[in-house]
Amino acid sequence: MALRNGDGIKIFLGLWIAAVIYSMFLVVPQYVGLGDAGRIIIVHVPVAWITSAAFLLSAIYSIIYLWKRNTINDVAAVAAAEVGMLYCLFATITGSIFAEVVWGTFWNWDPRETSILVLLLIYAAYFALRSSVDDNERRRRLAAVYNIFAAVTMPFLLFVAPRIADSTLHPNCAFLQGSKCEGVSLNLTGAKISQLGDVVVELKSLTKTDTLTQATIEVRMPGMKNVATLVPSLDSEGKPADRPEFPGQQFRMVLLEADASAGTVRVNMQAPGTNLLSNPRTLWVFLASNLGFFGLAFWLYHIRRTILQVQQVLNPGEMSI
Amino acid sequence: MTILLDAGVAIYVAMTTALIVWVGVFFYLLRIDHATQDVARQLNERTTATDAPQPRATIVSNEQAKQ
Repeated sequence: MALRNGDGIKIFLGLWIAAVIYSMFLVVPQYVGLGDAGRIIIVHVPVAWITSAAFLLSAIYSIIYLWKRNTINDVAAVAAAEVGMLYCLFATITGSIFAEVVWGTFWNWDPRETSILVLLLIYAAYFALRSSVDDNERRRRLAAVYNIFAAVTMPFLLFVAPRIADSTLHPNCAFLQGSKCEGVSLNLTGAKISQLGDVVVELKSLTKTDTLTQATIEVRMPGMKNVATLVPSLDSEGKPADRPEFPGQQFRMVLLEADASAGTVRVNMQAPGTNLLSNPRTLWVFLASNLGFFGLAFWLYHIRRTILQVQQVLNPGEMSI
Repeated sequence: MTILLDAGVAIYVAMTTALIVWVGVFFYLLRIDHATQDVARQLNERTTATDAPQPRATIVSNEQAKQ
């Protein structure tokens, strides 16, 4: 295959993504609690983010189409939506592989999994709509309006719904500190019972030594006959020390704050992968992965857009998009 | 084959597999990209040739007009 002008940047992109793959396996350290399975996050998260960017771009082109009625914008909207769909599928598949390794099942109807499936179905309906209307002008108009509504649901499904869900296995705090990381406060003399997702936690005692502050917390989970007792602790500098695992789960309980004199603590659930970007090597590879997959998305978009434009010129009356 | 699944080897196997898949995808994309560019260029040339202005009137001299 002979090289041409403009191939240089594509070859650079190819090498860049190859370097990301190499770094993902051999440069990024293992994550505590996730092992090698955690490396998939280097691909999974950027792909999910670019999915949202592609769907947003598609909606912008749909708005421009409705405004200017130029079919070029409709073609661009379709190309962007197709790239978004492809990336969304890739994010779902990589997420499922991660879930199988870490949580023991490919699919468990976790809020995050459910919301991305709904998003896939919404955009599948977009393509179904396009193929169901014969009249070109009408199809483009209807699809553009639908696409705008689909894009409105996208941020909610990708970013909001999984974070407001009471119970999710997805590590929400891994990338956005404070998104749902407040935890719950318990008080020995007041509100000693609270809920973390669907787990009921009850503070039983709080002890302080020179080196550790330990909270004894009883845990009741759905489907669990007996009450489990976890003892998370803080070290002398106020940083979490022991993070006991919830029975039968990959989640850990972390003690965020403790005031032994007042008898108050703040505890939270911590999923494997939390704070994984605090490692500089992981952070740089993660950023490089974002750039690489963004470049790949743009390339795919460009190819698909050119194909659709050619198709439009050759068969203006028989558009299959 | 079990040697490929050993803890120390598996990560290299996974990386090699991912790299091979990526190289395949990359060259496939490059081929499609070239083919698409070719078709688009040919189409543009054809469209340009078709769209060339055609003479709608012929200018002749007076003698020719009289004949």
